[in-house]
Amino acid sequence: MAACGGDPHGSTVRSARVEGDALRLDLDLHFSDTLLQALDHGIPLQLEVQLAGAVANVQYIDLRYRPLSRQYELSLPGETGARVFGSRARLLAALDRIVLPMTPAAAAGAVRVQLRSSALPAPLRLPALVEREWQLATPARPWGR
Amino acid sequence: MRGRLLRWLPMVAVLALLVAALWIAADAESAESRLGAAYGWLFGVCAAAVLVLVVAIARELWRLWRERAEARPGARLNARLAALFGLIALPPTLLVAGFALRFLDAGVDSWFRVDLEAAHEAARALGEQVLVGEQRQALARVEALARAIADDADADVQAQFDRLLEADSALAVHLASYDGNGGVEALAYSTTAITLPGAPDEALRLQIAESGGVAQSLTMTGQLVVRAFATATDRLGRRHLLQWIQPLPAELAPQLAELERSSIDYAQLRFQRGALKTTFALILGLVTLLALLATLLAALAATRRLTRPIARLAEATAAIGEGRFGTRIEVQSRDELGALTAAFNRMSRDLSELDAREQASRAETEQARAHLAAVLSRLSAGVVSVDGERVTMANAAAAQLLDCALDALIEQPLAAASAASPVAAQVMATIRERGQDARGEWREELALPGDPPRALLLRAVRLGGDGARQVVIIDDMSVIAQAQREAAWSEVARRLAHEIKNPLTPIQLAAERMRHRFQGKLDPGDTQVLERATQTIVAQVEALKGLVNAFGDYARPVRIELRPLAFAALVGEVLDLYESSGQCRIERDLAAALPPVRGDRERLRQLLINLLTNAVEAGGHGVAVEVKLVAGEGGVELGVRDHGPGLPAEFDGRWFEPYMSTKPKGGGLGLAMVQKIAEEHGGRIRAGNAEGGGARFVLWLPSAGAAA
Repeated sequence: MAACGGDPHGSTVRSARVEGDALRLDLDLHFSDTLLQALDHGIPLQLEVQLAGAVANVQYIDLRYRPLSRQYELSLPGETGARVFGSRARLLAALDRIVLPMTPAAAAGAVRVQLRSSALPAPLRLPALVEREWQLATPARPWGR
Repeated sequence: MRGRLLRWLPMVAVLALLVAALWIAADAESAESRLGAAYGWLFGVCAAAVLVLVVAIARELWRLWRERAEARPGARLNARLAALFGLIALPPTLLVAGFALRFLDAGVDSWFRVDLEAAHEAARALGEQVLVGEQRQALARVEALARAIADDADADVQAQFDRLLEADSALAVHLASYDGNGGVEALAYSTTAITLPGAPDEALRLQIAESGGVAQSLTMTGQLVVRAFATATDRLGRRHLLQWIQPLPAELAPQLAELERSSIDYAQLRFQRGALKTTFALILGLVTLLALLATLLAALAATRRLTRPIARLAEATAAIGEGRFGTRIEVQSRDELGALTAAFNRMSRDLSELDAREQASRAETEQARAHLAAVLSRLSAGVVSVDGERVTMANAAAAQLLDCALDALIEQPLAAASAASPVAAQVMATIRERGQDARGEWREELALPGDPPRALLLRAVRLGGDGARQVVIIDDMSVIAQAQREAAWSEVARRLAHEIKNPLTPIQLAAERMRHRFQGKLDPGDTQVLERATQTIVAQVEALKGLVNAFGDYARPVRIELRPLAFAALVGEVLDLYESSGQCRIERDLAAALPPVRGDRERLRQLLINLLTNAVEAGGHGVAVEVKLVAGEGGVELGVRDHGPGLPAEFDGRWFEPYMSTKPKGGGLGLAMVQKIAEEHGGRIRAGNAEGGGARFVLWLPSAGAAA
């Protein structure tokens, strides 16, 4: 279900447009409590951005919590170093609008974002396969210039 | 091909399950996700492998049930052993699995002891304080730099950066100044371990603007660094966003990095506590399932392999029970079962040899029995074997002598055999009476009334010690007497031929010489007397010669050649001969499709001529002779009736002996020859007066099949 049409929590790609060599995405991602707790317990979450078009492309967004500094890190493709946030809310707010590099930039295509369950620690992969709390996926959203 | 695939598929499934379980177990232990993408496939493979094993076991159980329902040898033992092995394997497997699950649960829980958790938290808090201290220090340094830039008369940010690095050559830092648009306007660094990160985003700028300065730690190129921001307004009124990045001190960096890593690991483990238990339980379940299914499958295969030789032994034993001796089983092992199989093969071979010997012995016995039966069947004497009160054996001659059917004697109690005929009753009574009284051998003569009366001679020999079994030989004394008379006549004929025939020729020659000597020398009256006398001598000598020759023919042993022949055709030929001679008028009635008889053509021709001659001589020249040929019991029957005076009242069997004749002429050898030839062919001749006058002779000859 998640792989085809989206997660039960209603995550969506609100808009997607290409500006120059970048794809600007307005996201509305709903993380379940389980996912947020996992993040707070140091479980790295990896979002997979699937770009379908003339050239298929997959990019990854990493979210991580540093318990020592009590900071959250966001690693985006094309950026050197991670962005650092003092709170989870700021981290999630930063995910509302992201810019992804596109080389070469396609005139049209579709994009969807989903949690990459296979990147979770081994013990969590089985629940991630079957439990809805571990599912986060948006429907495919077409983009254009 | 399909069978091989079915045989290997369960093994592949076992291997797949084993590999999958080990794979999952290894992956669960590691922090890195090496098999993440394959997890779904892995569980799919596990499910398919379990399904294959279950199907293989179900197939084996179905086969076992079917074999048991069909009562195949070894099926019950196979089922019992499989159930036994299953029962033996199940409890320890479940016990180990249960204990392992319990230890797993306790083991995972032990990772999160309260004191351990408190220590982790204390260490983390300590590290956090150190890090915060470093952040504060960095923030203080960047704020000091901001103040220096604000006080700089030249408002030269780059110069301030350079002076700072020159003033403290030991300082490892990466400095950057961003303008209002995020563009880098000044850059300086004393370490190459840190690269310039991206410009602060709007959110961070806002945060810096709100608080005046921000310090944070982050991981750059794998190392923990401290980053601090401050804003500075130079004398020209320009605002600069200053970024200070410095690595942690060398004596703290490894410990803090390790502390952060362990804090993350511990936090992750604490979060995954339930999932870890579930995963380990799943792996344990997979392994337990694998062990159970594989054990069950192996038990079924092993019991089948174990009971196969036993089943083969049972099948072979059943085959031997059905009389198929010599059944062999291939010896496939060197264990006790192999030794048992080899012993069975030896036993089967011995039985086969014994059976062959027994069959050969039986065949010899049968052959001897058949030979004895053939001999007995050709004996003219009757032979009856009696065991106690039962007739066990009798030959055809016995049945003939007792005037009954053979079946009425063989395997019949004496009482039943007695009822077969009056003669049989008399004979059986004698056997019973003498059998009870006598010791050893006995003999008894029985006079049987009838026409003609007969006399039977019974001679018995006892077999065995109890005297219950005896063999009785029955002879017809009348036949013996007749045979003795025939032998005597043959002797007479031989002597006649020898003693009389020799002088006849000199007598004849002497008479002819005498006639020739005195012919013409005597007076006519004497000459006539001499002529008549010599003619009489010569004629009588010729007659004597004929008589002697006839006796010679009667006495001469004849070699006859018996072969199947159509008796009706032979009778027809002889009748044609008589008709054409005009001696008599033949009234013939010859049945068609008669069985052939086995006889010598010339001897039978002579028999027919003798019979017809006898009829013609009895009736006179030109009278009618009735000839009728019909099928008789077991042969053919020829009736010849003349119209003569008929047989005298005293006519009996002796009239078939030589020199017995009712006719004034003839030597009395015609009917004797008829009887002799009939007996040579196994036939018989009887005579009687016909209704309406005349005599009727009936000849019976056995058919070729009956004679054989």
